[in-house]
Amino acid sequence: MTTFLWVLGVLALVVTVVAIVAGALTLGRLGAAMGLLGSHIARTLRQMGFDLVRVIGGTVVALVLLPVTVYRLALQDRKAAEDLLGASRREATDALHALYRFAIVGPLRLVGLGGVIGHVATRVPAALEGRHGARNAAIEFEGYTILRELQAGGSGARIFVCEPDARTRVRIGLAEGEVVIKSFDFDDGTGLAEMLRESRALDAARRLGLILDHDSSERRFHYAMRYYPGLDLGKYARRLHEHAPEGQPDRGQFLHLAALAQDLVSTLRDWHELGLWHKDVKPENIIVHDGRATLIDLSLVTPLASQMTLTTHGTEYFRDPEMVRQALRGTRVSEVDAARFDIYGAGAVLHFMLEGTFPAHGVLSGFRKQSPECLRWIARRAMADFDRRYASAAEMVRDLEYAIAGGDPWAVRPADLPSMRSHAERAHDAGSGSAVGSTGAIPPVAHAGTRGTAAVGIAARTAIAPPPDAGLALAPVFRVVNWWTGAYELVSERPAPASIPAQSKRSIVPPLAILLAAIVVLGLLTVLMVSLAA
Amino acid sequence: MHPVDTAFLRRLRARDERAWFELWEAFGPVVRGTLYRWGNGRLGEETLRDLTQDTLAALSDSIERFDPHRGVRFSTWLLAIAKHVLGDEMDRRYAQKRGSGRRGTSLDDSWMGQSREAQPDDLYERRVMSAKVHSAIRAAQKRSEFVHFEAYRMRVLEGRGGREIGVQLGVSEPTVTRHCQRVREVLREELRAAIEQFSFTDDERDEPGRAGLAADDAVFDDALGEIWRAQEEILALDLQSQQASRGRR
Repeated sequence: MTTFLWVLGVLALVVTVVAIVAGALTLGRLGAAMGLLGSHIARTLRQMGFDLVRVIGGTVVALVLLPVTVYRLALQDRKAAEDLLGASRREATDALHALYRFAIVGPLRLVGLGGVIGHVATRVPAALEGRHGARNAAIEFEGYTILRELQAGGSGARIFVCEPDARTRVRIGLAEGEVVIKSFDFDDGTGLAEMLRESRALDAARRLGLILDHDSSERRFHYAMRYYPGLDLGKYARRLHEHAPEGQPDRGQFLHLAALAQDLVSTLRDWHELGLWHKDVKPENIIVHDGRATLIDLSLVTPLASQMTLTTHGTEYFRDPEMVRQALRGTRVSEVDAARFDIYGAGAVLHFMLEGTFPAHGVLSGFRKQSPECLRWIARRAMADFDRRYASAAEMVRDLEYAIAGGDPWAVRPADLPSMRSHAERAHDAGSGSAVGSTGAIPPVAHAGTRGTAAVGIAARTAIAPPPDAGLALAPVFRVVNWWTGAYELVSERPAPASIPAQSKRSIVPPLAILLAAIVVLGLLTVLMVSLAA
Repeated sequence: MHPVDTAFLRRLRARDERAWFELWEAFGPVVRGTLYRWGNGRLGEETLRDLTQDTLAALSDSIERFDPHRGVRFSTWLLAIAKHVLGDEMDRRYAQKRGSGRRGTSLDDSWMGQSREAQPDDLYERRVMSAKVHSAIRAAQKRSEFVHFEAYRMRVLEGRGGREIGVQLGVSEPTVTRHCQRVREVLREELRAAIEQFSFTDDERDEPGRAGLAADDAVFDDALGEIWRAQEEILALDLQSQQASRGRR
């Protein structure tokens, strides 16, 4: 009997421990849920704040325009009066939309009824605008609430900023933030060609984590990407140059720009490895957010093995002139290494970042501002003649990594860059002897350096000055490979790109169930033990 | 007089798109800069781009009727067409403002000869000459090793010392000199070809000699560097003006 009581006692102890652990887990997950709730409330309130500002701004502008309209009418300038009246009406409609979102959509979303009003939220503004004709007013996406529509590009698609519901967040692996949905609809006037062009890059983009979700029906096709509320690189770089003392970025800012270029070229490298090229690399297609650069717009993405003839699409100054020449010859995409056209674009973007102006003369464009020689070299090498530029985006990434690694691009000579060292080695192997420097052989720096150099890199971390409105770019990460010599290697110039954090699938239910079960078992054991003891 | 009906003109007449692209690549910026000055800052970037393309399209239309034996300079020919296109655009804008829908002036032969209206100024002539030199440099860059051309660029176009370049490129000073010599030879060939291609009169063909581009290596480098830097200044001013006008808008 005593032994049996001992066994019951040990069992009760184990169950108590389980109950304590389950209780702690339950409390922890409850805390996380509260955090999510807090974040939801903060986001919704912020959106309501924006809407309120739009209500006030739109109303004021609409009212101000009215007397001006009357004045124009008095001057018999009917056309101008009509234009002003139209503008006033647009402002008033926008203010009404914002008021509707502020007074109805916001509060409902605040109490968790966002999904319920999603359908209505899109229909009411459409009805206010009287959009029932050419544009499909009743557009909606299952699992998403449309927050606003963005200005569309030239592809005929409509672009919406949406908030996924909780279930969709779990499915697409997005814990927080909004998504942008690009929608192609025959009812909105999109052609089949545009739909096909955008859809051919979907699988690859999904594998790269750029596209979170996509769906198609008989008349519509859409895909969702994470929404990055940052500036495009064009505005960002201009702002950086404008705010720099005497228009001259400092060492930290150059380091930051080089890191952005590295983000871009790394993305291109991944695209190319998946057999695709972007075809429209330009500052306006790059979003800077949290100190990182993300390449957007899949509208011209083309398979490298495509049998289609090259076209002259793209943007002047960032489009490779060789691509235009090849297109005029009627060359097929598969007949050239089209990835090099993207490399040209990346070089032009780097030139733009260093100068704050377009590379109006391609590789012959001069550098008027002071900038690190190695970065200029990389930009020119990327924009060089088709056969003489970087053979791959990976090669360009290695050079950029090297330029960033030491924390001071000014200290890096073109001769130190990995691509130049391999060039010099080839030249040396060929017996030309041209690689012999005036002060001896080219320094064998590779990615190994001394403790002193590493210290410079680490010191640079604090010296990086981001441009206004920018997140702070993080410094290189090194690993010491030999403590005796102080040699180190570059692990990553910055932490790995923040992968989209998956929504935690750990529910509160299992630990709660375990806790309840443990309490019940503990109760039973106690009753049994008491009755046996009695 | 040289036979004006050059191979390039034949290619243009044969609608060789690559020849048209070469023309666009070499003289597009000149036309754009000139149109911008004439527009006095009132023309937006997009309009300028369209007008530049229109100018070359007008060239395409007129090329069949162009009579090279009138002795017209290549630069004057280009300028006359650019001015015609700009005039057409202005007419169209005024017509739109008045709401009368008056159609723009049509192309005729009057502007294809030595136009009295479109007299090129000194700045324009320098731009055209610089564009020809740029075209030659671009061609030389294509034919040269990347490192060789960069050595030449640093030495001649940026005016840096051989020792400094050697340190940057990890090579000795004599190697820098050899790189520069190779590029210079290619450049001389390409310059002759560009001048021949984009010149209609003997006077135009003599321009490189007057600018010092037919002299020995040192004078050649100095002259080339000077033209290059002057062109860079002009282009930078163009870009600044265009960006400023965009900022105002």
